[in-house]
Amino acid sequence: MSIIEVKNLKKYYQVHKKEPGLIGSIKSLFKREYEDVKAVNNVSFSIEEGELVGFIGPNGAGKTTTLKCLSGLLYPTSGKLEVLGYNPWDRKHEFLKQISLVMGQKNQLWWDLPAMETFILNKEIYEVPQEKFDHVLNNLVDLLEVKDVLNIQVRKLSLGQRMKCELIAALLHSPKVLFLDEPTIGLDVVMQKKMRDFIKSYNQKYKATIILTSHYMDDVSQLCERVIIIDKGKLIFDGSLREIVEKYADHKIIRVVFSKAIDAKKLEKIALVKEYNYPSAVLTVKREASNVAAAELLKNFPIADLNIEEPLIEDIIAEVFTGKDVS
Amino acid sequence: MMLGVIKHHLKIFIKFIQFSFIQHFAFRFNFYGYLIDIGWLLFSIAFIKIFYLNVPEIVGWNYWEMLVLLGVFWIFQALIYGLVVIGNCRKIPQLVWTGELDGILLKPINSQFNVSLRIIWTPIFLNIIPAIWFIYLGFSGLKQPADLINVFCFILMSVFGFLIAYGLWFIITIFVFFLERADNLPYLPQAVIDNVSQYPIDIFKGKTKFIFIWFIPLAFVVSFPTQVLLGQLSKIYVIYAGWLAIIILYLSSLFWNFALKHYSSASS
Amino acid sequence: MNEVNKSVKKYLILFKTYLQKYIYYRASAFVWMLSDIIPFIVLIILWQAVYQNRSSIAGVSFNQMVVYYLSISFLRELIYTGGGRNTISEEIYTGQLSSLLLKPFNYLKRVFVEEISWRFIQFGLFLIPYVLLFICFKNVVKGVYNFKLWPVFILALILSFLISAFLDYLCGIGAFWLTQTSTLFHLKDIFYWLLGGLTFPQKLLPCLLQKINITLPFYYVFGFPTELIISNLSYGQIIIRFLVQLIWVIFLYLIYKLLWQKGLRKYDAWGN
Repeated sequence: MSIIEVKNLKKYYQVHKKEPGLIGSIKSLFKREYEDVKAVNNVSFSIEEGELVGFIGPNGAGKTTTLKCLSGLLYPTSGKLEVLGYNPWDRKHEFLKQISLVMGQKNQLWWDLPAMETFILNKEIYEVPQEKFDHVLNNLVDLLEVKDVLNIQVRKLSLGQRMKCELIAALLHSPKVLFLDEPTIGLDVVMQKKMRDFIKSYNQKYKATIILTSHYMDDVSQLCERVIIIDKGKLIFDGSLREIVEKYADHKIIRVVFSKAIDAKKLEKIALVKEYNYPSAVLTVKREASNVAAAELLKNFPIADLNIEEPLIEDIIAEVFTGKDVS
Repeated sequence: MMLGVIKHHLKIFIKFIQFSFIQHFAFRFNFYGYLIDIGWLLFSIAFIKIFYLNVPEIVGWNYWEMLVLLGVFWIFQALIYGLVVIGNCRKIPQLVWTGELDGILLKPINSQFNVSLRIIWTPIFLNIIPAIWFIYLGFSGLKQPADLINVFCFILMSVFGFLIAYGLWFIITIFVFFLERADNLPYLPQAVIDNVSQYPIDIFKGKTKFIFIWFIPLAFVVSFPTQVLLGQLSKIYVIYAGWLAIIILYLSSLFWNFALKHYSSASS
Repeated sequence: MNEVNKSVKKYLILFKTYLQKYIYYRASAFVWMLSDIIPFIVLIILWQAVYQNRSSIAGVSFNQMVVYYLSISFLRELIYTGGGRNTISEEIYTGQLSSLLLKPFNYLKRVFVEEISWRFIQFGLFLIPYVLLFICFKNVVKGVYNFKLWPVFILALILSFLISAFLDYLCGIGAFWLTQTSTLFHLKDIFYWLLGGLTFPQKLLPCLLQKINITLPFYYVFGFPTELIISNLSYGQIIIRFLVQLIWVIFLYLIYKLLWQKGLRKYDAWGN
């Protein structure tokens, strides 16, 4: 049985519109106009234990809403949800003890107190036995390198240190299912990498099931074998990264470095020239024709270096959003 | 099993108090806030004194009995504001519209307990000291010793009264889930509960009195416990208080769950 | 003429913006309205109970007492300046004052405009409840009001508003020198309630305190205008008190202007 099961999940909101200006304010006292927002519109998927799945989609696509439904924060308009065998909305304590939701900007650390205090509070709340607590805490602190900051007031920590402590607070109870909403947002490049490494090792070490949402492609491409694409509340794609590339990217990229000057116009007979800055060029060519094109290039041009690459995932996904639809 | 749950929550409650101490006394102490409290305390005494300058008794209560009532009222205020209102009820509107409530709902403890007692305001407990002194003054003036049984019943009834007041306060505060921009809703119960419970319930007559005893049982918060302490009220009211507390707490939790259903966290 | 037109237009737009803001916060406004009225209603109920056994307390009849509370609480809503005060302190503490001083509005006038627009809201908000209250107490109210001196009353009302505003701003300006102004505001409130006549007519105070009270500004904010239309103050008393009120208005205005300049200099010295 899958650890996470989602069947026909729908979540609709009603938002009311107000006209601007003084007249509009007075009008809204008497009559309200409401508008339906379909945040999640019939989404289904299932996830097995230990998987690391990425949710991608533009802002407002419904990723966060889905996560919140899965963690029991939102009451679905319709559909069936099951996580670890529980109905998330019941918010049973045994269920909550095994999951964790980490949202980029929201914090649970008490501002005026050292992070350690929040950890101890969480230990009480989640009823983690002392030995296990010490063991897990030491592990996490080592992994994230925050040993020195535990006893400093949270308000005095840097953003990076605070995020690490937030993460520890969220993981102290060794959750089996981890929901990460935009985990690397607002972090610098170094921190982003550290965060990704941490998530990967956490997944491997504890066999925790992890769903993460992001709109940074690198988060997803480096961490997730499986990717679910959501747009405008609908599930557009569910499968591996490789599948996306193969299915939606009908072309490949050839990067060339020339050893001698050439006639650029001749290049166009073989492939589409995307960029040409002597001595290098970037060409796009249809997927099936890529090998042939490469051979042609090598035969007819003085080439110092040639690489065949997949197109950027960003570009592929952008294409996916603008037109192609699984259904 | 039930005992385990209670123990669990008790431990967490102690942690909340610990945190409050650390926050308020270790890192900063609001001296001005305390001055303000003393100011209002002196005002309350002046109010009673001036009243009784002009009038010998109010609905059968003399000056000393009123002093005892004032003391009990101040203890009640310190407890309800310190434990529930300042740190928690007043923050609920903010929790709702920023979506911070999510963090609370994800914890494996009773969410109503969490949201009502998380942030405790310990400095206000200092007000209990002068309040006890008023009660002592009142009793000295009455030249009446405090009966131990009365004191015990008084304490029990005060606990019930506190729970009743909490339940009512909480229920009104929960309406923020359904209203837009009613950020100061937690101040509404203040107007009613504070103003009505600081006087003897006998100032009300007929139907109003009946409502304040059995429907919005504010009489049980300060007025009746004081009368029990003074030995003027039958002990059966302690039992009534207990039942009312249970009913109101139960209603508050029903309403809380109903409100949560309507709660949609602020979108990302 | 154009200059005046432009400046009037400017303040009118500001006025409309504040009105909009307050309409948006109407649920809050309703709560404040109830929070303000309920204490007075309970006080009236208290007095009703007290007057059961007697007909006059310190020379005040029950009818007079009830009308006193209804009137003074309504006046309080019109006069009590609440909108501008914390704004001034806040803006000094957060340093926002700097940017606001740069705007093409005279800062103090702007605070005043916000105050006046809030008056309209208050009036609109409290009109209906008070009409209802007066209908409820119709029998009690008859014959208690004494509007013979209504021009003096209107004048006194305006002066009251000014005193209230200046006291408020003085407390707000305290932010230039103190780390926290809330103590000042609470102190002011305590004096209003005790001496200003909000809790009981000042006739109930002990004799000595009454005499001192008449020299202090608090009585003149609420107590005096109310007593003008209810009690039968002698002409002599009215003249003296009116003069004292006038003196306070001028005095507070001068102190306020003086401290504002001093405060601004200190504020600039902080490098804001």
